[in-house]
Amino acid sequence: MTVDWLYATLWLAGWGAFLIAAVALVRRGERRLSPGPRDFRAPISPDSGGSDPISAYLDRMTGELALPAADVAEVRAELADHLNDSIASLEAEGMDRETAVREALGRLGPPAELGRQLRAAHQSTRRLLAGAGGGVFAAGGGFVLGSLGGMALAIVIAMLFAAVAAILGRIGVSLPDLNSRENGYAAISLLSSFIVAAGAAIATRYAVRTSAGLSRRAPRTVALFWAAAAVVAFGWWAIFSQRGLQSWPIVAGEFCIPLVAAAGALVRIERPMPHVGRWALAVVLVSVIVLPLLLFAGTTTSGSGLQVEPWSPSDFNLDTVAPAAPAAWLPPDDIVESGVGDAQAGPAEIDAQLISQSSATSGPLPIAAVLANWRDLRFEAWHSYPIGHNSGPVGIDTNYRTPFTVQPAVVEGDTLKAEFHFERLRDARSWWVVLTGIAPDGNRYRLGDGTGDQTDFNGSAWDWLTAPQ
Amino acid sequence: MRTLRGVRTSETPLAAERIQVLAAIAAIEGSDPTGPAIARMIRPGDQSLLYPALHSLEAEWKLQATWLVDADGTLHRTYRRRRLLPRRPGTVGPR
Repeated sequence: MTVDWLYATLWLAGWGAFLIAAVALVRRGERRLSPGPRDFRAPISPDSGGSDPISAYLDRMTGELALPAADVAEVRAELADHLNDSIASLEAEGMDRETAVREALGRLGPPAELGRQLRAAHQSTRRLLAGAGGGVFAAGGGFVLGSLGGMALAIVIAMLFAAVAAILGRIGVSLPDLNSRENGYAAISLLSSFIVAAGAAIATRYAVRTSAGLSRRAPRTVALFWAAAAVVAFGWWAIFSQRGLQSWPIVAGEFCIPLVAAAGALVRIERPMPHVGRWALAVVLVSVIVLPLLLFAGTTTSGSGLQVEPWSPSDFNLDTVAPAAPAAWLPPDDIVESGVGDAQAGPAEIDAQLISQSSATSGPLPIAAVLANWRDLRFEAWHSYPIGHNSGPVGIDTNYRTPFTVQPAVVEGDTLKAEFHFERLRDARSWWVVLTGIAPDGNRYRLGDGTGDQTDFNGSAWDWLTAPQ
Repeated sequence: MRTLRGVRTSETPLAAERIQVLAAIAAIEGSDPTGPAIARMIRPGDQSLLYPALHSLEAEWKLQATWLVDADGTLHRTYRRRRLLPRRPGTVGPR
C-alpha cells in the first residue's frame, strides 16, 4: 500500500484548520454571551435594590434590550458613565443633585423606548447574516468534535460492558449476544447512534451559542430556530438519507438523533459551554487511538473454529416445501442444481441449471429437458434456520408452513433465473430458495435441494418502517 | 435619497442623528470622543437618539468603539471612524 503523503498532509492540515477556526469562532461568540472578566466600573454604582432613580432607569432600559450578557453590561456601563457626566455638568451649572438627575434622565428619553432603540441598533441585518453563517460553520466543527468525543466515550462504555460480561461469564452468568444478527446488532447500532447523537447535540449547541454571540441576540431567542433546523436536517439525514443495515434497535437509535440535536439547542442553553482542556483532549486521543490499538493487539485468533458437520439432505427439512420430484419426469442421472451470488446486502440472484452427475460435462445441460414435463416452475423462498452456525438445526425452518415470497422462474439460455430482494424485507435474514414445479400428475414437487444464504436489511429507516414483513 | 459618508439619509429622526454623529466625529478627527462629548457637540438637550445612532453606526462597521481608561482608572467608551486597517487605541478624547 502506498501513501500519498502530500495528500494525507493536506487532508489533515485542512481538517485541523477547519476545527481550529470553528473553535475560535465559538469562543468569539462565547465572549459576547458572558460578561467576561472585564470590570466595567460604572461611575454611578447602581443600588442593588434598584431604589434610586438611576438604577431604576437602567434596569428598565436593560429589561428591553434582549441582548447577550456582554452587550447588556457594556450598554449599561456606557449609559451610567453618560449619566454621571451629564449630572456632573448640570450640577456645575448650579442645579441641585435631585434636579440634575431628573434632567439627565429626561434627556435620554423613556427607558423602555431607549432599550428598544438600542436593541434594534445592535441587531442589524449584517450581524444576523454573520450569525447565521457563523452558526452553520460552528455547527460543522461541533459535529466533528462532538462525534470524536462521542466515539471516545462509546469505546470506554463498550470496554466497560465487555469487562462486566467477562466477569459475569467467569461466575457462570451468560449474557445474550447483543451484537448478533438475531438481536438486530443492538450493541453496535446503539453505540453508532450514540456517536452521531453526541455530534448532533454539540453541533446545534455550537450553532446556537455562536450565532447568538455574532448576531447579538440572547441564546434563547435563536435556540428555537436552530432546534427546528436541527430536527429537519438531522431528521432527514437519519430517516431518509442514512442507508445501510437496519433493525428495530438501529431505527430507534436513528429516531433519537434529531431529538437529541434539538435538546442540545434548547436544554440549559444559557449556560456557557464547558471548557475543553488538555486533559479532556488527552483522554479523547487515548480512547480513540490507543485503546483500539491495544484491543486489536490483544485479540487472538484460535484457528478457524469452523467444524463442518456431515449433514444429510434429510436434515434440511426440504419435504416441508414439497416432495422431491419423481425421477420419471427428470432426465436420468441429471440433477437440478441451484446457486446464488453475493446476497449479503443486495438482491439475491437465484439460478437453477440441469447438471449431469455421470458425464464429465462441466457446463449445464439444455434446460428444455426439464421444461418438457413441468409447468408453473417457480422459486420459493422459505425461512431457514440460521446459516453459518456450527451447531443447531439447519435447512428449512419447520415453524413455517408457507414460503414468505415466490418468484416465477425465467428461462435465460440453459438457466432458470429469479431475483429476490431480501434486503428490502424486514425478517428475511436466513432463507432457503427451492425450485418447484407442477408435474404431469398435477402435483407440485421440488426440483433439487435449492440454495440458501442470509441477507440483512439494507436501506433507510423509512424503508424499514414501510417494508413488508 | 441623499447620502452622507455612506450613510443613507432617509428623513427619519434616527437617520438625521446618525448624520450629525458622523459629522461631529469627523470634525474632531484624531481624538476619540466619548458619548457625552459627542452629545455636547450635536445639541445639549434631547439625547434620546444619540446612543441608538452610535450603536447602529458601530453595528454597520462605520464606527469603531473602544473602552479606554482615563487617569482616574474609570472606563469610558470612545468612538472613532472605522478604517480598513485597525489602529492602535489612543487616549480618551474630549469628555
